[in-house]
Amino acid sequence: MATNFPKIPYIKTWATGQVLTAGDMNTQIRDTVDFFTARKPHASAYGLASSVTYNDNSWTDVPLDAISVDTHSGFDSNGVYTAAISGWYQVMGCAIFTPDSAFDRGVRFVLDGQPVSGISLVDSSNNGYSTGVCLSRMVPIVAGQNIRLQGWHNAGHTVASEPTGAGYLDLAFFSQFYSYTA
Amino acid sequence: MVVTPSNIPAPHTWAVGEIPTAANWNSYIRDAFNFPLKFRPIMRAAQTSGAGTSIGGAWTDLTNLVVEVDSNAGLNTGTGVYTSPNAGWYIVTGSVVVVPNSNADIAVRLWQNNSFMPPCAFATRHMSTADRGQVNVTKLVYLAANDTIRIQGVNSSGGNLATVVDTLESSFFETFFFSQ
Repeated sequence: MATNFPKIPYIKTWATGQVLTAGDMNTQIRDTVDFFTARKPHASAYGLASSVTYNDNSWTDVPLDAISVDTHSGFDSNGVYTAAISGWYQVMGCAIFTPDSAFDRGVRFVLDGQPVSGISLVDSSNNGYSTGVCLSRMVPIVAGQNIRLQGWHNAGHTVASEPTGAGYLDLAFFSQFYSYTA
Repeated sequence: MVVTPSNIPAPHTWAVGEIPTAANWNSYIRDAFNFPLKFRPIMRAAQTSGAGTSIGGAWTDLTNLVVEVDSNAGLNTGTGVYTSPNAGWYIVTGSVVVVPNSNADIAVRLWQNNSFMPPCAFATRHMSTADRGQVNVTKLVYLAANDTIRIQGVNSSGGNLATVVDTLESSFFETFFFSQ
């Protein structure tokens, strides 16, 4: 899959009497439209063969070893995403735990080592089902910062991630910061 | 205006000396900007009225949805199946809300093209006697044109659980075109 350019078109201010050139049309119009339609950063990674053992009451990275799309090459092999462009991203994640007894499971996002406010928490009983916990947040990410998905539980013993799908982490760029200047 | 698969504007590279005509100004500038501004496919539906769905012990399609907006008429409201009008990446959200039960796990997932597609977008929740049960999932999903996607629910009570039909707290299904 093609990698998009890691930049946002910068819209210049036109001067009175300025002649419109093909170069302007391409960089100011074509590239801008193309960015909005097809080149906004977006990425999706998921667990395919990776797995992890979650210790009791300990936030643990969800391992994500497969990539569906990564327009700006942000994901590393562990599923940690480093942003190439600053802005607001919708971040979507899910951790899937193997069937176990009744207790709470949770997920959160961690931005540059600091938890992002807001978690998702569910309880699930011993019904033989895997347990998925999902979370979606708008997160401001500065270029160079990284974000990861973590899972948690309070079972009192270790719990494994689902071996055929530990979860996923998706990102979709929505807007530059309001105060952004090129 | 309804956007059809044929009218997502294609980028146009301008040649030196090319004079913009009204036609290509409208196609490559007006239409091109209008698409990301307000014509991206969007669908939003919920079980605000009607028959709802009986969620069983096997994965069950969320059916009988009432459309709030469906820019490209992609949703079959009876079956709950959304057919993609344009190829691209969509943000898809699904939620299932069922009546109270004393001891059931419920789960929701996205289901694309009648088959399992990893990663399985999947959420679960345990229910107690007094409360409605609700689970939701949001995922970035690639849909080719005419791909189908739906919301499915399941429960472990040993019987069926009806979804809540309500103007405020019902199950819902949303798709939003994000990018080619």
